[in-house]
Amino acid sequence: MTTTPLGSGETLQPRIAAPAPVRQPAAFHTTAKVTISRVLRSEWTKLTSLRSTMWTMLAALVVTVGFGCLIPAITVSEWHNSTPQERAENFTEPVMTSLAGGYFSQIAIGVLGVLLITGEYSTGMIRTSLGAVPHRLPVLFAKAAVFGVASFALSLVSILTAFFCGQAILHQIGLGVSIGDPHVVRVLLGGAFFVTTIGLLGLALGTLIRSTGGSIAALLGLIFVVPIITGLLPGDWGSIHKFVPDGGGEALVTVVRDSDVMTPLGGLVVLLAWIVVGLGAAAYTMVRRDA
Amino acid sequence: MIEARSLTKRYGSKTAVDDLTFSVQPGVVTGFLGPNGAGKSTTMRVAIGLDRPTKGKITVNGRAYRDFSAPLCEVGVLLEAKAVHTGRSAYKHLLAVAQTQGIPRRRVDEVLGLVGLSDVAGKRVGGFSLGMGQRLGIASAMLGDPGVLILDEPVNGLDPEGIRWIRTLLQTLAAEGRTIFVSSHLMSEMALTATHLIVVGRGKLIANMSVEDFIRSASGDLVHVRSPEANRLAEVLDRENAKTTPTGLDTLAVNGLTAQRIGDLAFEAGVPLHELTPRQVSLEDAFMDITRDAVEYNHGQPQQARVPASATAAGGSVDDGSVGAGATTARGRA
Repeated sequence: MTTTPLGSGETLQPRIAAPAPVRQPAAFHTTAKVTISRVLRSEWTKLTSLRSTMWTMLAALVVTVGFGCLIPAITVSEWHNSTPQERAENFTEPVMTSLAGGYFSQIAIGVLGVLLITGEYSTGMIRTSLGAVPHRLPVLFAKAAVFGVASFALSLVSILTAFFCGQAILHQIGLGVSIGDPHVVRVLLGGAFFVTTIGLLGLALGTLIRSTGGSIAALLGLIFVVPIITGLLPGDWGSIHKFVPDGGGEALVTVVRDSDVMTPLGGLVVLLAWIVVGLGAAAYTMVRRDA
Repeated sequence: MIEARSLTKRYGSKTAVDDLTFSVQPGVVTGFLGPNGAGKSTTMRVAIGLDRPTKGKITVNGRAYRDFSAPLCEVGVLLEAKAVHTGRSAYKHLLAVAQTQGIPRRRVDEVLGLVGLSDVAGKRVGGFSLGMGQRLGIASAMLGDPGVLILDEPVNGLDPEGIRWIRTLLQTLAAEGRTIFVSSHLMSEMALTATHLIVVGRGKLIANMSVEDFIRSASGDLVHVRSPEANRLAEVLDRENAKTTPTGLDTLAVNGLTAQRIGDLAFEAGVPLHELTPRQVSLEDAFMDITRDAVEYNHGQPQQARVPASATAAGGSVDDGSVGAGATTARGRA
């Protein structure tokens, strides 16, 4: 028995040798080349051309502004029903009161981050994307950059709107603060940065796990379940909380700081570390694995 | 030109592509033929760098795919499954792909016109029929006006009109001097579209020959003979190393001799002949026969892909690219 394929001799050529005319290459061939700025433009087109993406971003904005006005309104009514002692204990974070919507918008942006990449894997689009950019990493980093900037801008706009609306309501009872007050600008920027971090972690998890369901479960576990577990840890172990994303975000947006919360700068470093590690792991697997 | 050298791809313990060596020439349509699971898609995925080969390599115009600075302008690709986000419009999809390497917007309009999707360019791809999806895939492959096209099952899901359109398009593109590499599991389609054939089974190369040779050798020298002295004729023909199989009381199927030679031998031996008919083996039959042992999920136990033994025994078939008598004897054994 032989495994020699039929007719595989080197001399074998197509029987009908077509006269191959010299084809004029297209004019754009002289300038065509994959560059980072072009991949960024492509990723911007991708981000803005999906209805689901635009709806999710709109939802994040509406929720942030909505709760930013609603919670202060409830606070005002509670204020009128409280004793002076309760007022002193419970109404200490006027800035945070108008940032309550951030809890919801971090879910929306986080899930969006997941979908940006798992949507490509589930539809097969990823093969087109990586076929166009075979070095792959520009795709991931351009996606992260475009999405990071877009979600930071969106979060900042919605947080500022929520802040001005919420503080105007709180002014009725004399609790409102202005943007010029100490810590306020840092808290507002920090809140937007925290939401952006969760979005990028969603993108990283989506790249690592590839399936939409698994990635969203992992992301929600990271932002909601992990803080519960660190809260249950005894003694010094509890300080691990400072180093999870939730702890880092807390450090960024807290005005009245407990001893177990990091400085804002420390919180920023924690969040940046999560972004670097998350996207680093995503980059490693994206280059290594078959698409 | 596309060149595979000892290309091997294993997924875990499963070998999808096994030591493939072939080259695809410009100027003609080359068919990449094999049953499902033969390794065609894997080979194409490795060719454009989506999967990493376990061993060996595949190059386009002498270079690895990832070394191209503008890959879409060198190689156009259509992969079997739709590789498009269903929520995006056809236009935005192509635009996003074009933007990665500075292909101008007007080229997006051009390729949409080329495949006849201009009217639905703004519609979301999720609502496209399979045929429209294939047309969009062709548009995407043509975006960079590449000199090499790699198309995985492009006629899948197309209606007869669409199939004819693709056939004409591919032949036109080949005539312009481009390299066209098209996979299919349909022999009949390849016979109409391709000029050259690369046949694989179980990841191994089975045949690499022109369609013309393939057809000639496949329909080969099976001859139906009717004679009142069939037994005596069989003895005569067996002495000439023919393979005879009784198919009825007075009929024989003869391999290895031409009808002309059988007639002469019968005349010399004084055997009367009532019928002498060269029988055409259909292309599908020929294809099924040479790939039968290479079909993946046939009998549980994996076997080696191989050429029917008689094809090589017929002499010289490896060198002259003939599948010889294998087509019929393989059927006899099975």
